[in-house]
Amino acid sequence: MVVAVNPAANQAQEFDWDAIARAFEQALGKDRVVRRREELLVYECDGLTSYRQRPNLAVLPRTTGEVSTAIKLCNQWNVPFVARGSGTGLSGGALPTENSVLIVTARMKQILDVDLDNHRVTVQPGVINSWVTQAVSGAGFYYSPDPSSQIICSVGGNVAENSGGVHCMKYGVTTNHVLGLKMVLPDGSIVDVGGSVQEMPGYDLTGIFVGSEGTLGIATEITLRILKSADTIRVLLADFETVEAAGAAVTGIVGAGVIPAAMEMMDNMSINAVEDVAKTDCYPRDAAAILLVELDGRESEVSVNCDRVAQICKEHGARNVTSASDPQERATLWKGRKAAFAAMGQLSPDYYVQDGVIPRTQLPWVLEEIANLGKQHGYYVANVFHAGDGNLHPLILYDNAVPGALEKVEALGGDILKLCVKAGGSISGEHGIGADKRCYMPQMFSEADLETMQQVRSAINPKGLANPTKIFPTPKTCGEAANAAKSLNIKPIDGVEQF
Amino acid sequence: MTAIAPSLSKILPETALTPWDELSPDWQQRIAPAIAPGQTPQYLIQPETEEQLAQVIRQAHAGDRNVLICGNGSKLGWGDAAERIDWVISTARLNRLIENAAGDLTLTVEAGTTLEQIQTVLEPHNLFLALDPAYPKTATIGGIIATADAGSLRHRYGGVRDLLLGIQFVRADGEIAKAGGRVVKNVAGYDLMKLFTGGYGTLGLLTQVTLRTYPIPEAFRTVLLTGEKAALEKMSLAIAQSSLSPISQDWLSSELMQSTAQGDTTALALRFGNVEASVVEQSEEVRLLGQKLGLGLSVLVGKPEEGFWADVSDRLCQRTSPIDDSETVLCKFGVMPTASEATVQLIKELSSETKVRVNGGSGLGMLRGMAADWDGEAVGRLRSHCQSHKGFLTVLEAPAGLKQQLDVWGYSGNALPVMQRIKEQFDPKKTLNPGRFVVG
Ligand SMILES: Cc1cc2nc3c(=O)[nH]c(=O)nc-3n(C[C@H](O)[C@H](O)[C@H](O)COP(=O)(O)OP(=O)(O)OC[C@H]3O[C@@H](n4cnc5c(N)ncnc54)[C@H](O)[C@@H]3O)c2cc1C
Repeated sequence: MVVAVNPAANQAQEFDWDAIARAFEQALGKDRVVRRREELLVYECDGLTSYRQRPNLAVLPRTTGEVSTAIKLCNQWNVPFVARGSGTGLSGGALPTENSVLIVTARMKQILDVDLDNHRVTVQPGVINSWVTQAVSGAGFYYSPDPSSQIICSVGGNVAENSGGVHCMKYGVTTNHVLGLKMVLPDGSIVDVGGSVQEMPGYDLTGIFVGSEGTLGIATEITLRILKSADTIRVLLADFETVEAAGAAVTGIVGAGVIPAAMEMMDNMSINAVEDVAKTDCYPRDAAAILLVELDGRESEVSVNCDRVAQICKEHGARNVTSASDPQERATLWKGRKAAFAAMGQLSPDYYVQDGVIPRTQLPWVLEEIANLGKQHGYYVANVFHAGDGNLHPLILYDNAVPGALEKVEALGGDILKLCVKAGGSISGEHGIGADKRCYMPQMFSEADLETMQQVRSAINPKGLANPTKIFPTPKTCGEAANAAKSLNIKPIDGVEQF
Repeated sequence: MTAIAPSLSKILPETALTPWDELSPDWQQRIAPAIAPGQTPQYLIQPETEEQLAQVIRQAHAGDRNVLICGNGSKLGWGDAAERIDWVISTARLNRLIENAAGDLTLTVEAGTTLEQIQTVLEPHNLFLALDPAYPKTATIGGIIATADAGSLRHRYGGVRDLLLGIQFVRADGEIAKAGGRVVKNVAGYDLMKLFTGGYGTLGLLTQVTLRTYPIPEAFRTVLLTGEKAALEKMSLAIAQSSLSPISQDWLSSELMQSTAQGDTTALALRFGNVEASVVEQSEEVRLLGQKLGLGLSVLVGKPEEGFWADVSDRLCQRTSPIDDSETVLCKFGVMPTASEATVQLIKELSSETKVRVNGGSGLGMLRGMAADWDGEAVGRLRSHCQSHKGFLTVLEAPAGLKQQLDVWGYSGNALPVMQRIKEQFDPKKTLNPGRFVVG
């Protein structure tokens, strides 16, 4: 097993937290520092509430300079630090480690620059994803990566997780939209990587920082690319008698040269859950699968592609194909999809969302295999997913009150990840590795692979102070059984749908 | 001159190892600009398998041999000349197709596969690799990635970084490692693909790569707009504010236009690739917009359309003057997109004979000029213009004399120490392409 570079965290060190807190207060001002136990409680977990650890101290800087000061203090006292945006992450990325300072970007909420002519926006990391679009939508632009947590998650968190969304099939994920970053490195120094212009000479450090889950420093300014909004958006809904047919239709659509803005699939169990709970009356209960396809662009291309997609769905056995252009009608077709996770919550006392990726042509057999695995472990698994890019979100329904259920669900979740790897895919499409999946990294990567990635960490985070123990497996975290008494629930957030 | 090193001959077939003296003049010429004047490497090594390559690198590592890495050597002139190269290693014979997952829109090939081979594999599936880099006939995909070399198609499909999904490589110590995967969406582990893209072979030798492929658009149409500078700039802004979706949107200098026989003034070239109806509709909208602004306009379809874009690329790649065979320079630069036209103008003022292409969406461009015009002072002036528009200028190809006078890379940021630390971790002995890149 590869051992994470983690000297700071591995040291059995005594910290004088009173003195440390005073030092932070002195350097940053009392209003920037949270040290009372009750107030620290809100920071003890992210969206994955199964892991909890209270930070010893939280700081809320407002500027790059203050972030740098905070990190320099961490170096002085040799304490690890963990960055936190909105805390909606689903892999325990922002989970405080033992004896750590949490650096929260919640007060770094300024949109620093909007340059419509050059299609660029520069923001502080605490800016909420959807604010970017709000800032430019009046002029007909939008920021494309749209995680379903977008009304609450921060751009800094998006950058750290390389977040995706429903519309990343056509337009790409966060990394394809970040042009440059101002970073405070783990030693407190400040660097500018990338910029307003892409492909500066030298290594693409922007590319390595995006998706590094806070292990290489803290982004304090982020320059994003914005896109022009499409003239026309149309949504098609098709229902199928077999999952194979729906899967073949997905392949057929892509094979015909159509790249939809989004392409989502739900299986029979999810359809019924939605109809039981949300009663949308949109999705036929006897369908094995439904497919939602959103096309966008100029009317001249959307209308042609819409006909093609409808035709292909029919050729692959779709019983009905409906389409909608009007925003209200489109919302109706999407409603069931958006209600899917909430519906599961009502169907079953608890549910667990997995995030894995497979090559999309492997969908039919993988879904069958997931159902088999569910049977073997004794759980129902519903499937709601981004079919266009093969990003699965299997939902395991269980009851946490049943002793031992959790461990079994975790084991099933793990088997599903192994299946994804076997199908040629990945253990995470958008939620990240964090604390949750680090022990599955060896499923996908050899020792040499992990060692090479660690070289990047050693280069930029040599003392291991930035978000230690995340991403990479360690004997301590993966050697023994997972700690007991966990609940795998995702914290519900008002007004936020889950995808 | 050189007896074959027994250790190398043990791990390589005879055909994979060529002493410098026995190398064809053509290969010698390709390699020469990458090496400090007066020096010659011992061998050109062309392994046939990844394992052979790994063994060669292990030996290089153990014996402190410096290696120069290439594919077919089409761009060995790019970058600084290396010091003390012992072996030149080409990945050109690692050219197998691993998997064309057409339904998944991904392709996995060995790094020595040429772009041309790749397009030939993809075309029957109505797919293509959305890259139109320099030297498209000889360039291997490994070299294209290492130089992050994308052309006009970047406007719709992004740069090389946006297309690369997974890599396998031999590290400086000879270990084989990988990152990413074969799926279009994947956040597991660090994105080493980004470091290798544009890393000029200084972190490892790519052996296998997975790329995103795209369906070939059903129809193409190109609109060339010419006229008053102010009107053209207005046009460009209008396009940026519209929902028009060209796949390429380039400013082309008068000299470049002339060489393609499509005019003799600076043009804004818009290429549409879409369903037939949309291509027609969008070109029509551009025509109406252009008319309003009093711009000249010509529309290309079919073979001439395809030929035009091939010409643009060919002319930029022409290494010597077609008239008198004299030397040229090739530079890559970037500016804020709104400064694209002004940059074309400035280049014209500095040397009217220079061919320029700038992508209007990203502000990234290439210029090919006569070496006689582009001395240190001219390069310096253009570089400060680019930097004042938040960009950069890198001299890719130039006579050795000019390169020695200049910092060819022109990196002006504050992150050099971070880059050097990464290099230090990946290649502590500095045996891979030493001295060639920004990091030394
Ligand atoms: C209901 C719900 C729906 C979701 N839907 C999606 C979805 O559709 N697609 C998707 O991809 N994700 C989704 N997520 C996951 C989550 O919202 C994203 O990962 C998001 O990007 C996290 O942002 P955050 O601000 O909450 O980050 P946090 O959870 O606070 O932090 C996430 C990681 O980023 C690091 N970090 C935060 N800020 C910085 C910074 N400035 N610099 C460096 N590192 C930093 C942290 O250390 C941590 O490792 C969903 C989550 C929920 C709860």
